[in-house]
Amino acid sequence: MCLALPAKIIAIDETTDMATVALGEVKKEVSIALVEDVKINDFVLIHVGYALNKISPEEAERTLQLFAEAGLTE
Amino acid sequence: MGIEGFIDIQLIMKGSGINDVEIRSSRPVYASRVFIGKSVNKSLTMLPLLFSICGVAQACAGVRACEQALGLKVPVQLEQVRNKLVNMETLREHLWRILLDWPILLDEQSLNQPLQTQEMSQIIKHQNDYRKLLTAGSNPFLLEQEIPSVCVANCQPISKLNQILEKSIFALSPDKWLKIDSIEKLQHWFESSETIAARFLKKIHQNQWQSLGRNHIKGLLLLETEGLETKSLEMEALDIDTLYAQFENETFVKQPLWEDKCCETNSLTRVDSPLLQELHRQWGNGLMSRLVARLTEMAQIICELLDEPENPSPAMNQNRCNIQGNGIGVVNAARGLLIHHVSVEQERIKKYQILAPTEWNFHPQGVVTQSLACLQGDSEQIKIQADLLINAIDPCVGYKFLLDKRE
Repeated sequence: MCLALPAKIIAIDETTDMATVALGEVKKEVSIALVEDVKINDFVLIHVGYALNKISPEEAERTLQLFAEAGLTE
Repeated sequence: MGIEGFIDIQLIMKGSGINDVEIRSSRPVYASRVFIGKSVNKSLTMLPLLFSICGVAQACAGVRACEQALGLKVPVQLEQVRNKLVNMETLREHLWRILLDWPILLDEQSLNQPLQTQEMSQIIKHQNDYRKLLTAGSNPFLLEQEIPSVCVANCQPISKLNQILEKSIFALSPDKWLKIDSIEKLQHWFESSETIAARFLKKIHQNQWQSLGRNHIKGLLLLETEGLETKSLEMEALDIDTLYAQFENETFVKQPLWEDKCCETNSLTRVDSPLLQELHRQWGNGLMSRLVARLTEMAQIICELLDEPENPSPAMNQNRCNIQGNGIGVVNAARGLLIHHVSVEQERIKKYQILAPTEWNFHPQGVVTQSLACLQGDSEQIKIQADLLINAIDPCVGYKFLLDKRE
């Protein structure tokens, strides 16, 4: 519900503005066309196939902790 | 990656149309319970991390609910800043859906996609710049914040957004587009313009889909902030006392009903104009009225942000509660009415409930179900029409169809 997932960029295809992101063991292709200056190992919030914005590793960790606490990652 | 939940829509076909619709939602509607036991300030800091889609509206509803629960008075100027930021987010969300989703629905995705994503990236940048200008680095969604008084009417981010709207959506300035006051003039507009919005409406017209999904589900209004008398659609008024009573029922946030009836909430239920009134008379709450309501809302928002009227819309943090330690925060988010309910005891959260617009709109007997139940055609035609309707009613949510043909 109205949630965006923090995920780590593990590969970038600059020709298509697409990236492979990882959340735990799961990998997914998302568009990075809406976010400027994305690099491998950056964390982004993803929602319906798009990276929405970059977040710091600390914010990503805090958010994932919160998801776990809310029982969303079980 | 199913943390955000999903909506499964089973369309049961019989003959040349839909015989029944079944909706099942796995959206985590109780996730806000994570705040129970935490301090109010910590919860308000964490809220936008957890609910980052429409994060501005979520943060705004949260702080309003907490302020009421704590009995805090809020300066009008601060509420006006909040309203502007929520409106800006609504504008961004509508632009997102139009620039990125409508080309797919028109089956012309590959034509201009890089251009549209580049434009969307600029829109997000303008939104961020606007927030920086307006708040000077403060966070207006925490308790007891002081926001400097800054006049941002006609500032650069707003002017740039106005230019994007003029070039890519309306093909004329938004204030001139708002002067379109009849179906005849609307038709002339979409037939003589080449923007994505004009092409989209033209397609709806050519396929005679104007009344697609028409039904009698009532719209939601918050009684204390909006006038029922001006609406040409049938509306149901939420009053705050009854709302508090409804939140006693834990399932209210999962499958909400108002006076035992389903209601809907989105641009259609909160925007009005002479054009929309004519559309309602002609095609009710069908597809054309929904699309024009979204365009109208975008034009109205940019005009308001450009002009900064002396008497802006009333603030929405006035929902007094007589139950000590309780508060309700209401926000007109992009998708519809977003409501937070909070109980606070000794400055800690005792109860935190969020009722999102999607739960009204995707109620198993709600507006999406009723709209889809009207569809006729073969399975391919039904899927196209169903996608159009869902995008028009509540375009954020992830969903998938299961077509079940029965003879």
